[in-house]
Amino acid sequence: MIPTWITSSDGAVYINDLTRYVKSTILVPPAGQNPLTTPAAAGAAIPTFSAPVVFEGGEDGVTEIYSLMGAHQAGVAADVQARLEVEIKDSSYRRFYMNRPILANHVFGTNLNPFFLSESIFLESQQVLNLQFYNRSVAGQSVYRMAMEARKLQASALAQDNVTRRIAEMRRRKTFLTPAWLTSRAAIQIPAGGTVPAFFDVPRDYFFYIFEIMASTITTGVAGDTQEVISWEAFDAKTQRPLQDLRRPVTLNTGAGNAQFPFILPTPLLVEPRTTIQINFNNLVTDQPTEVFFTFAGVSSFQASENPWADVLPDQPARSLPTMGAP
Amino acid sequence: MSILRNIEKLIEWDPRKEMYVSPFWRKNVIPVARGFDPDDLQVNANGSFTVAAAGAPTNPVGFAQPFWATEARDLPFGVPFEWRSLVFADSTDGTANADFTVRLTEMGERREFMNNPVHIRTIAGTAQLPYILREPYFLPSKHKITAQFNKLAGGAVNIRMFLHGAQYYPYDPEFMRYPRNREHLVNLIQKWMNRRKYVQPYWLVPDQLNVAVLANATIDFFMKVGDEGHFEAYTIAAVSTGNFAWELIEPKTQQTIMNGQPTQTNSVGTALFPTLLPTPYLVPAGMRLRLRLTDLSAAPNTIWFCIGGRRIYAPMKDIGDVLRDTSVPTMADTPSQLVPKPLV
Repeated sequence: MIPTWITSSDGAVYINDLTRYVKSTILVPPAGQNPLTTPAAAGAAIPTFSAPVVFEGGEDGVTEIYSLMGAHQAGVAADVQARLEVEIKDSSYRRFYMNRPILANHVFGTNLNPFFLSESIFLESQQVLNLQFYNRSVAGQSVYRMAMEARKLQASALAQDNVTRRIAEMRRRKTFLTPAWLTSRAAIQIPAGGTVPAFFDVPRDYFFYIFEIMASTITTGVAGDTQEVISWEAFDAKTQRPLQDLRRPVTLNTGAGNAQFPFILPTPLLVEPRTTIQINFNNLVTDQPTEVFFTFAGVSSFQASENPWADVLPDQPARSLPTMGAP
Repeated sequence: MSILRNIEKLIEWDPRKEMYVSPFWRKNVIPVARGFDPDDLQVNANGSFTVAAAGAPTNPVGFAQPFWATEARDLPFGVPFEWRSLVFADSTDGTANADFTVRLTEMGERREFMNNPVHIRTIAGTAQLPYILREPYFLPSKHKITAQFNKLAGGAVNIRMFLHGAQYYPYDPEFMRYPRNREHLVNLIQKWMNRRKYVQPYWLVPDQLNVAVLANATIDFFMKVGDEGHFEAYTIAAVSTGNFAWELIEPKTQQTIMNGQPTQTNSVGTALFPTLLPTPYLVPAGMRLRLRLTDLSAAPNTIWFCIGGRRIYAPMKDIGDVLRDTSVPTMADTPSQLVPKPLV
């Protein structure tokens, strides 16, 4: 962070001049798209998609987004809220932040508990993010509001060395690092009391650092364990090392969260490109099938053309440029 | 932002390659959910464990740390586990209503993690809001933690409980290419093996098993730290059948920790949102605390009061000596009040 003030050795305090040029901001969609209405799906497998939503960085500086918030309008059917999906892409750099549309509840937190990105999104002046919403429910239309918290480095600060250096560092950094969400290759539906494998393909162009797990379910069942609904066993993609004990699958409330309260892994999981994470899901509901929405969130590191592993140690002197730190 | 979500510790800019690189050893520390011992026949086929109806405590059920090694040089290490948080789920009567106690013990070394059984909702959270230990506990391979549950009211329940943490794999064929990385990982494990002798997570509850306060009454209870180690308190959590007010007093020094009796609603959380003490509170070995409880519900009140923290088996030292010494370089030495900083 940029310190607000500087305390000198004799105790005197000085305001850091840079703070005049760094401002908090909240980005919202253009007028007319807030709230965004997406009509009901035409059929169970035929989603309806919204008009593209554009989030534009301010024209008077560069913008760094660090959290996402969203809310369904009151009265929207529960089934619609549970099936609304979103896809975010950075049109300028042709970067897709997700492998396919992800449940909106796994991307946007709330005003009280925003979803904090593990890696901020950097927008040049007037650069845009494109969002596309998909309503996969036939129960009604979706009405959704969203916003992104950010900070803005005002253009008037571009004469400041510290700010321009920070921006230069960010431009380089964002060439490599972006936030990422990864969901299953295809929709997951588990028969009553059954078990199905699901596959999560890490694309060939990035290393994936997983920080969070989110999951939600839809079922009409009333028999079996309707509290936990599902359980699963996951394995490290490359080494097949188990992430839990044999025959001791984790469940909805012991292994996953949502965008408001994601399950933050006790230590991040590093997944190599061109690998597939396999998870075996069990339906603990015994009288009805269960649909599962399962999302990994973290940071993608675009360096797949070369081996990024190094024989470097964290206690060596940092070799990167001086940084003012991430939010 | 939580330090657990900070990528800065995982990447480094390499000016020669002009790309970000990651230390290879980091790939060999992975998140793991340690569940009930797979070989324990008391556990149900789907991984849950049945806590019988109120009456008697269950037989102990274990969390076993497995052992793998591929080379002779790995034998001393196996695959140790750094336990960082505790979660549970109750499938039958709902997490919010789960009403049972647990007592955790490390069997190999007979280490107690609490002085008496503790209410589950004061020490175990959910995946959304896990109870993060104030001191991670390093569990070597072939060691085992056991849990003994006791239902306080109602019928039997099926529960799941997981110790979430990081598992260290000091072997990997590719370590041949990154020898300094293996050395670093082994050094980390050795530091943990040393540190675990001195510090462990601990929960302090009243010496008396069932703390019941009559309607509108005020009763004193004692919480004995014991003379084998110090206790550093970080969090307050409680479950009760009614509202209450409380006060902590140090009988030895006659110091009161607060200037009156705060009510439970103002000052006591649960495992999901435990109340954080503004600064860690060190209770030296041999001291006991007096807990004064006042019922505010005008009805008999059963209160499960729990102070979370860590146990420190170390001599006290002059600050000048401490500053001159180089301590084990772990972030956990200066934990944030929000989340203890992990070692890796």
